[in-house]
Amino acid sequence: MASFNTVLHRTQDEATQNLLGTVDTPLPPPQPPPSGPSQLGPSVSNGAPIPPALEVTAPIGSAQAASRLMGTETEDTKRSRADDAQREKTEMQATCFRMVLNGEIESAEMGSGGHGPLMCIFSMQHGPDWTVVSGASDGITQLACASVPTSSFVTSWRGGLAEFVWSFPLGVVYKSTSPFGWPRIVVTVYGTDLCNRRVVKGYGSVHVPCQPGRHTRTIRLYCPLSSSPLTRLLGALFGNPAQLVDPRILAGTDGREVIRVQSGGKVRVHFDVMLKDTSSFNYAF
Amino acid sequence: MTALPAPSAPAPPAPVPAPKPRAPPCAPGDEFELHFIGELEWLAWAGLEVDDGLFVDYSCEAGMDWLPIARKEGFVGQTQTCYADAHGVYVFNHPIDFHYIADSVASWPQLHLQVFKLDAAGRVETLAYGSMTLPNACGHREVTVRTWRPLQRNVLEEARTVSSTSGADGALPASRAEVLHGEVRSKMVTKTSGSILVALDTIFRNAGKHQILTG
Repeated sequence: MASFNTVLHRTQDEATQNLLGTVDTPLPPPQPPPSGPSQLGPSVSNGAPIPPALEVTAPIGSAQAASRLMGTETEDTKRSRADDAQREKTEMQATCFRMVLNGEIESAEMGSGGHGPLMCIFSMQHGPDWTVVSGASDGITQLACASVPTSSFVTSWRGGLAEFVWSFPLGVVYKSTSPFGWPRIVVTVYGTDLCNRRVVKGYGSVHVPCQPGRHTRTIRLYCPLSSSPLTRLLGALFGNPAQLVDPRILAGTDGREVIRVQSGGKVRVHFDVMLKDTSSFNYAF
Repeated sequence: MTALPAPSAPAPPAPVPAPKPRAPPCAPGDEFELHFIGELEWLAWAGLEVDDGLFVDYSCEAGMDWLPIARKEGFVGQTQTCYADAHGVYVFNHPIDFHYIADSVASWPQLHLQVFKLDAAGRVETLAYGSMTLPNACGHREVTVRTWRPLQRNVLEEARTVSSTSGADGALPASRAEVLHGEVRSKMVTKTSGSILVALDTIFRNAGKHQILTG
């Protein structure tokens, strides 16, 4: 009985404090009135203007407390109170915060290097403190062609940039104990070379924004380069240019210093980020 | 006859400056933690040779009251070697994920950058230096780090460096931390170089408990 009491009082104080926006001056816990449930909570008696939400919660709380003391509480209210207390206890002991990511991989722009359709394979990488709760962290988009023809003469004449639109949706829910290892998306763009063979057109990666809200990020792409001109020529001839065995290393720092790349191309991604339970950890984003 | 002056006592040794006291650690669970998550994105420099690749060597230095969490190697590193795109932009896309526990807000971490050039003959030369202080407010910030290059002492050496025929450059006049904020810098003459973009998201923990106000 005593534990339920304290749980209720603490949560009610927090709720009322949040409503009034006064963290420093906690309201006194509603005293069960000795004269019966007719007296309303202390917030009404002092006559200060109170927001309507508080008007509703305070009287009910004190009435419940009063009826419990007087032994007139019914079985149903006791059971619902137990459920509420259990839920409050679990919430107050949150050990992870959650991040909900929605968004889309919108489009790619390859400048003069794009011929034919492009497709994108993406993978979300995260650190050891993170777990995927639901959603697919990997995916393959469709093959997209640009509406403006990509030959350089025509684009310069028509003044438009070739844009390959996928608009591929993202949706993942994570839980974590630490922002270290915040999820990153690694993107691989595949296209075709002059002989219509599938080759890698670019890699890139960006971290998911840490602030809640809608964000747009432009990922600049790059292609690995062989260290010798001969290998580069052979790769171009046989449709087998240098590519990464595992593009997921681009989300980390290990082994990056031995990679040589040629920059070119961009991918635009929209992120909608939502965070949950971070305030109990005192995080500020 | 005047007496010889008595030999003076040996001069007392110069007083060693007392080491600064370390800040007292705070209660576990209440520490001020900072996360800097982002990328060292790209470098824009339009005037270089097409055959020259650039890479950046970076190091994050903070005061002695700052405790870096995770491997120390995560705070020092080298990016990939990149060749420019059509607009003179070199894309490094190097992930940054720094996690500090700060017992003191003095000596805020600084990111020291050094740009190297890998030319077509395979020689590595220092091209430019840059530095930035990590953001001191939560949120997203894209910082453009302007870099500079030390000029040589006379015209001949400068011409040799620019035409890169000497092949002997790359040796630092001092350690990178000293070059970037030591007394060596007051004796340098430098020339403006390219700009590096670093995109960072900053997360604070327990800033309110320490009454830290960032505006």
